[in-house]
Amino acid sequence: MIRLKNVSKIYNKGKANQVVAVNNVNLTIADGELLGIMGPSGCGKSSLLHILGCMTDFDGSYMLDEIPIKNQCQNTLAEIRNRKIGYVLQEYALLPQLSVKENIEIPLLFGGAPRDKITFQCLEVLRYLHIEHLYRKKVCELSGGQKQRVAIARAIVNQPDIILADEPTGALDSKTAHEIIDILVDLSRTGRTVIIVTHDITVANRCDRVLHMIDGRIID
Amino acid sequence: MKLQDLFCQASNTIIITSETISNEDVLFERGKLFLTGTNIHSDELANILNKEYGAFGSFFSYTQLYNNNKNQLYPMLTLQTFIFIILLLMVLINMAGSSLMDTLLRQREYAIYYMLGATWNSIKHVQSLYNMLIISISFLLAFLLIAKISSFADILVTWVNWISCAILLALVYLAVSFLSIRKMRYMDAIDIIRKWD
Repeated sequence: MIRLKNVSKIYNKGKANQVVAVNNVNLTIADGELLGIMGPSGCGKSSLLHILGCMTDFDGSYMLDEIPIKNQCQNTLAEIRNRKIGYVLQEYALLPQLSVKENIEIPLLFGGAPRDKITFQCLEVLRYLHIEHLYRKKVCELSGGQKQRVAIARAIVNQPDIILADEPTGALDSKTAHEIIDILVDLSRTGRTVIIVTHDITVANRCDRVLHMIDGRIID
Repeated sequence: MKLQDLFCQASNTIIITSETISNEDVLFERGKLFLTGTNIHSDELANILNKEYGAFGSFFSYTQLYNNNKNQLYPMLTLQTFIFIILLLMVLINMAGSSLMDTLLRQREYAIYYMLGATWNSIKHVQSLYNMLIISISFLLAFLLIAKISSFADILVTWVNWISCAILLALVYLAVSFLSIRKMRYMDAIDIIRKWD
């Protein structure tokens, strides 16, 4: 369960170029919910996603499974990012010089998983996403759709409760985008909370609930 | 005593160190052949030099030698010290620049690590390991190069030289990379990834 109360994100606070990206947002997201966040560019939807992902500081109160996120130490936040949250970004955020296997291993390595568990879980997620044949390939040799599948594999390899996807289909053709959304919908059906930031109405239509944001506020 | 004992040669002056010859603060001059070290009496040393090299001359203490040559010594040392400082600064600036560039190029990688559950401290450890690897490889190459050069030229690099060089390298690399990672702490990791993508 995610609960936000009066959450704000202000860039360059107190300076002339101050920007209020997220403005007093109150939000509750149930476990296993598939939530879409829509809105024009610069409305604060990505900033809200980064707050949910414990990637940035904020004002207000954020409870993640009854854990207060505000003022947690760096180690606790890192552990939450590692074990509870999986990130999927528009431009994949993969390391091109590494192989598919090495990219997927990273969260498990930071989580201190033993070597046999790392190999087992990597193979399991690759099979789940039907990309086991890419195991040893370098990321730079993959197509956009394959890269996004690898990014999803990396996001779910640690079996997190929450998947955060920031424009996951933004760089893909419509057929591949459809496949990627199918995967995310499928993940939410397995009990994971999936939150998708998107501009695409067809993606939003697949979500259980859609929030619209303008000027840092949720309007419905 | 062998010719390999020679470690420095400048104009018509040869300075020799050897643990098997020499006496405390004893120098021998023939033309200008200076010997330093411990263990052997000056007369014995003179005999060895006469026998081995047909040398002849007189003995001076360091103080006498210094007094005889200080007028030439000071400008020479000043110039050499100045050149050393300039070269050292150039090397340090280059090292700091390459280390900074390397950390900047790895910003995206480190931001991804942060997103996937690393703390900035663990990222510092990753960078330290990487720096250690660079320093070890450069030391190995330098060691091999010095070994090759010393087979045909008289060069002496002591352990003190190696250790001071290693400490200097490590300090510059660590300081620069730690400072740049520290700066990353105040940026949002996602913004760093976006900037690079």
